Order: sequence, then C-alpha cells, then structure tokens
Amino acid sequence: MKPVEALQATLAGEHAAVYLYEVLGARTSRSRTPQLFSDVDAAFRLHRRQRDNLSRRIVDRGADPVAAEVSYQLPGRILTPADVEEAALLVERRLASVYGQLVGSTSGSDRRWGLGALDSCAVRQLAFRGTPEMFPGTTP
Amino acid sequence: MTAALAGTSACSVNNPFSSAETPAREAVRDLAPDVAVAVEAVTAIRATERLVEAVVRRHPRLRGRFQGLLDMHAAHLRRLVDAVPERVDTTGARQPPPVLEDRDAAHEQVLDGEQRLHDRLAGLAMRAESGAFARLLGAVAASISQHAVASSGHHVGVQA
Repeated sequence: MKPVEALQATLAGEHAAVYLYEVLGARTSRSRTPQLFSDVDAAFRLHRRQRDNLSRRIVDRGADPVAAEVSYQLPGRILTPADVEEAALLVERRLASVYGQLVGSTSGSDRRWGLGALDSCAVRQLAFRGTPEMFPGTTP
Repeated sequence: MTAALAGTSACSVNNPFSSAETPAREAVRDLAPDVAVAVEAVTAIRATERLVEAVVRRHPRLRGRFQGLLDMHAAHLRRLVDAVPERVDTTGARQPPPVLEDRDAAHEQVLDGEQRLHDRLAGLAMRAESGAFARLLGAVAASISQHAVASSGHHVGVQA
C-alpha cells in the first residue's frame, strides 16, 4: 500500500470513529455514568483531532482527503453502558489495526505519528474494559 | 532518585551496545539493517525482562502485578528471536541491575524500565526498512504501554 493510500484508509477509519463516538456520547448519561461519559467525550474530541491531522497530511501530499460517509452501520444494539463500552472497544481495536497498517506503509514523520496513534489506541482500549494484548494492531 | 538510579543501570549495565568492543556491537555491524534492528530489540527486551525478574525475586508480592509483563516479554521474544541469526549473542549484561529495596520504588523502577524499552522499540520501528517489521515493533511497543498501564491496577481514563 502506498503511503497516501494508507493515510486515506486511516482517515476513513477516523471518520467512522468520530461518527460512532458522537452516537455513543448521545447514548451515555453524564449523571449516571460520569466516568464513561468523560471517556467517550474525550475519545470523541481526540478522534476529531486525529481526523483533522490526517486530512492535513493528505492535503500536504497534494491529494484530496477521502470524505466521510453520510452514516455508518453501528456495531449492534447500543442501549446500555456495557453496550457503549463494547462498541468503543471495537472501534479502538479496529483503529489500532488501521494505524498498524499506517506504520507499515509509511516512513519518517507519518510513521512516527502512526506509532504514537497506535500506542494511544492500545492504551485507550483499557478504558473500555479491554485487556492487554501481545501484539495490538496486527490483526484486522 | 529512583529514576536516576534506574537510568544509570540502563545505560551502563544493561546496554550491550554501549561499548564498541562488545561482541553484540561487532555482530550487529555486519548484519543486514533489519536483522541488526531485531538484534537490538531482542537484547533490549531481554535486559528489561531480567530487571522485572530481579524485582519479583526481591519483592515476591509484586509477582502478581508483574506476571503479565513477564508473559508479554516472553511472547515478544518468541516472535522476534526468529529474526536473529543463531551466531549473534543477545544475552547482553549477565547481571541484573540492582533492585531498589523499597517495594514502591522497585515498582517504579520496573515502570521506568518498561518506558525506556517502549521508547527504544519505537525508535527501532522508525529505523526498520521492512514495513511489516516496523509494524511488528510498533505492536510490541504498544503492548508494553498497555501492560504497563494495566499493571498499575487503576482505571485509565481517556486522555483527550
């Protein structure tokens, strides 16, 4: 995969993450589950920044950043705090894999940035009841 | 003080590449670029693994907290060691670094060691010429971050 294709694939993943976290935020109660609300809100803002960063990197290479879809299929029913955590964990696992692909397809500053993003995806999984893995970001 | 002591041990005791005359340095010089990266990665992981083992021996109550780290290092070594030619010595320093007497300080000593290993592996991922190998090293570094955070036993909130 060429570097710009890997950047575009990662951007597509971040578009989906921003959409999903927006949905998860709307289905999380700030008063009843304040820690979960705070984590989902923080993840939403972080992924929005990652999305914007990726768009800039793609524009810097003279390409047009891939646009977001109008909507995305949710990973299942999201009714309870446990559903929210499960969905967030799934997003972070999938994104870790996309960032792993970015690391493997780029060099220099893009690879460095991808390494940092892969790392933070892996750690963020723990906030959503994920457990440590031996090789995060290596499985689709 | 803890960090300073741990830092000293990492540089002078645990780094087999600190002298141009060490066997590991001579071996690495003649290897293909990514094999050299693999050798450095394996040697660094073994050094950190020895530190964790030494801390657990000195403070047995920390075993439960650090068993995940030990299992992780073993899994990483199993995957990476295949990339290292048999003739290369990756054992590094034979002696583990001195373990701090205070249990909390020893706990911090391990986390400092894991952080240094993480940074080292991320640097090696930058050097790797093969994309697949860079991805593997990035995954190993990310796994270290996960396990180190998990070993704290506290909820980890998302940092925006």
